[in-house]
Amino acid sequence: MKTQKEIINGLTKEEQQILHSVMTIEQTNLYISDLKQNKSKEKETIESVVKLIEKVVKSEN
Amino acid sequence: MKIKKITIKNFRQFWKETTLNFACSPKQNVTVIHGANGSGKTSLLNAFKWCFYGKTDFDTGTEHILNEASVHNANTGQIVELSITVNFEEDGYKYEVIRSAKFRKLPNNEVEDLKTIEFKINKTEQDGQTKPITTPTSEINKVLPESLHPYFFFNGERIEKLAGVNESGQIKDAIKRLMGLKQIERAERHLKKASESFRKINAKTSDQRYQTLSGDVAQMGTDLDNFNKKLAELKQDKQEKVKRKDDVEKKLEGFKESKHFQEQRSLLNNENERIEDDIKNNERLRKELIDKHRAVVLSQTLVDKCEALVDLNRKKGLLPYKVRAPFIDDLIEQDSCICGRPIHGEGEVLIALTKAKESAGNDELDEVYSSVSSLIKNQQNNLLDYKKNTEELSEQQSKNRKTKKDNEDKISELGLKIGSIKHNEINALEDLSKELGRELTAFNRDIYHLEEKIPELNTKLIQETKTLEKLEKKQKEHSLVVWRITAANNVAKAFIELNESFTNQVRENLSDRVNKTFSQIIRKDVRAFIDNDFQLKIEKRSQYGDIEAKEQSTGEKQVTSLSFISSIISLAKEKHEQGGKFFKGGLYPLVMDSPFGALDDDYRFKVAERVANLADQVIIFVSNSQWNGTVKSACAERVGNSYRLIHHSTTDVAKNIEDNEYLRYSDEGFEFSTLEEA
Repeated sequence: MKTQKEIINGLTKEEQQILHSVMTIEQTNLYISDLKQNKSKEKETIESVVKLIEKVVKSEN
Repeated sequence: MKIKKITIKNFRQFWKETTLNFACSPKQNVTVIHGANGSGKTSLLNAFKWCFYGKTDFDTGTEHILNEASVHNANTGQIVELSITVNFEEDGYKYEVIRSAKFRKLPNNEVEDLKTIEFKINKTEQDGQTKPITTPTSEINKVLPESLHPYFFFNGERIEKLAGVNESGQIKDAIKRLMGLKQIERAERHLKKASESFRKINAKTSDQRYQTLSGDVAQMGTDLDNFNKKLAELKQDKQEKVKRKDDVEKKLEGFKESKHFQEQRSLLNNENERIEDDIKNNERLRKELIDKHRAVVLSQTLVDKCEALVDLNRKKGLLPYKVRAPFIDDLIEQDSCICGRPIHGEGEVLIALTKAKESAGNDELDEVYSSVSSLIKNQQNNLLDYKKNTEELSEQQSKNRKTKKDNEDKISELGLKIGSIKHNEINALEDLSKELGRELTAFNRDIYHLEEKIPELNTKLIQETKTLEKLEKKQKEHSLVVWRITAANNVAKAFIELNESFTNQVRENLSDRVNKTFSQIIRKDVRAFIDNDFQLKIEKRSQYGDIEAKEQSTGEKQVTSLSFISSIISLAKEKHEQGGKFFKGGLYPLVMDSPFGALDDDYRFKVAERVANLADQVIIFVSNSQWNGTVKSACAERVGNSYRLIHHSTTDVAKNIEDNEYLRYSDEGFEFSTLEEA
């Protein structure tokens, strides 16, 4: 089984940036016991993730 | 989380207001509340549950939680208030959690629930400012999630079930929540949703095939989410029903008329649960056996043909017999046949030997021949082994199925016997037990269907996703949106891998901790571990290697479960203190009702000796007999606060008794309990 370091190193720089930023987003919602039931909050979180990816992946390379 | 105090007013046995302060210092972190049976130990445990989550473990739920004395003492029409306040500290903040309910007294000591439950939390910041929390339910779930509370506030009499629990998914889920690993699962889900959102944009400028495929993949993802959610809900509901059924059956054991029948029924039900496990295990073993010997069975026709061919060629003299060529060379050189006659370099003997040498073949052929013969022989042995093992397993399976069926018939018979007892309460309990049984059957059916459906859908989703990704690979060079889809998918995959890696890490860590605590207490030569499915298992050493110890006493199961819970708490604490990005962990107390119930003196002493080390803060409710026996001497040094539960009774026994620590006479005309610092 791969280690944490190996898994993260397998990603590009941009993808690593996305991974760490998504973790930060998720940590702010950690205490909502069931995010799936809280549809507007879930939608808001997905939108934040979409915006984050748009911000990080800007060009076709 | 450090619980400072609890204030109870008119809850169950507790009349008026009473406050308990809990020990919080590192050296003396244990608070003990000891009292006689029925004096309110379980009510104290439920006071926390009701205050935090508005629920209780009582069979009647929250229906009869108002103290009877408070009703008797009120005037008709007067409002009677029930309230519980818990004060605790968490991460430098001070919390005051208050839940209260109001009732109106009606004539004949009846009450009307005014359904005005108030739930408030006041939070004091580090600068001393106190503010009310607008979302108290979320706030309490932040500190101690409701789904996790059974691991910290538990009834010791039921704790042993944890050791035999088959719902490994639930334990896995609880552990993930405790360690904060749920955020990784959420991250993966949200990245997949983000990828879906980019795919929708991409579909607009793509061909029909892409449009259909991306739509199908999104739909399958949503369906899979819904099925998994439904499955988790069903499993939780099922567990609650099982608990209720257990309670009902325990009550049936309380009546002398039904005691014997119910005990027999419980034994048979327990035996059938074990048999069901064996049946599942047998199915698994058969599957493994078939997988392992698939080639042996399928190649048998070929092997038979090969064997016939070898035999034929040997008879024809094309393949060697057992005499090898070098041996014949040696005979000729030594001028002596195997029968003792001289060869003399010519004549019939030499001709016969030379002929035999030709059919004996060379070393190379000999080697191939013996290797083929050995393979054929092995093949036959493997086939015999396979047949023998499958026959044994089939025989065991039929035997188990028959015993299960016989037990089911006996259980039905006992149900009829209990149903025919002329006793209203027993009849009502039996009806409830049957109803719960029917509901459980329906739950099992639904769970079974979903468990069949989910892997099928998952396989289909993986296949379709791969096709979609191939299409995207062709578009990649020219499209920014496909780069974004790829990035979202790659990060989602990394989260899946991280999740697996962390889950495994946590499992191994917990397994070591469980065994460490367990082996310090348990007397037998056994070890505890958490297997790959997150099931808590016990293995004993035998001459055939380590084998699963299925038969454990209730006391041993309690020790196992306590070791398990304390391991979770200590790991959660360690992760909390490390403050990593992926693991959150947390600081949790341990509040236990009757944790020593089923333990013998030796185990009781060992558990009591270590109880202070199970968590940072430990609160235990014990019976007076247990406390005054081994428990007190074993943990006295670590006990910071100790309370005595005093039952005020209206009986003659209480009237005539003098200087009893736990029983007093109530001249108020009704029974209630109070707490005294010991």
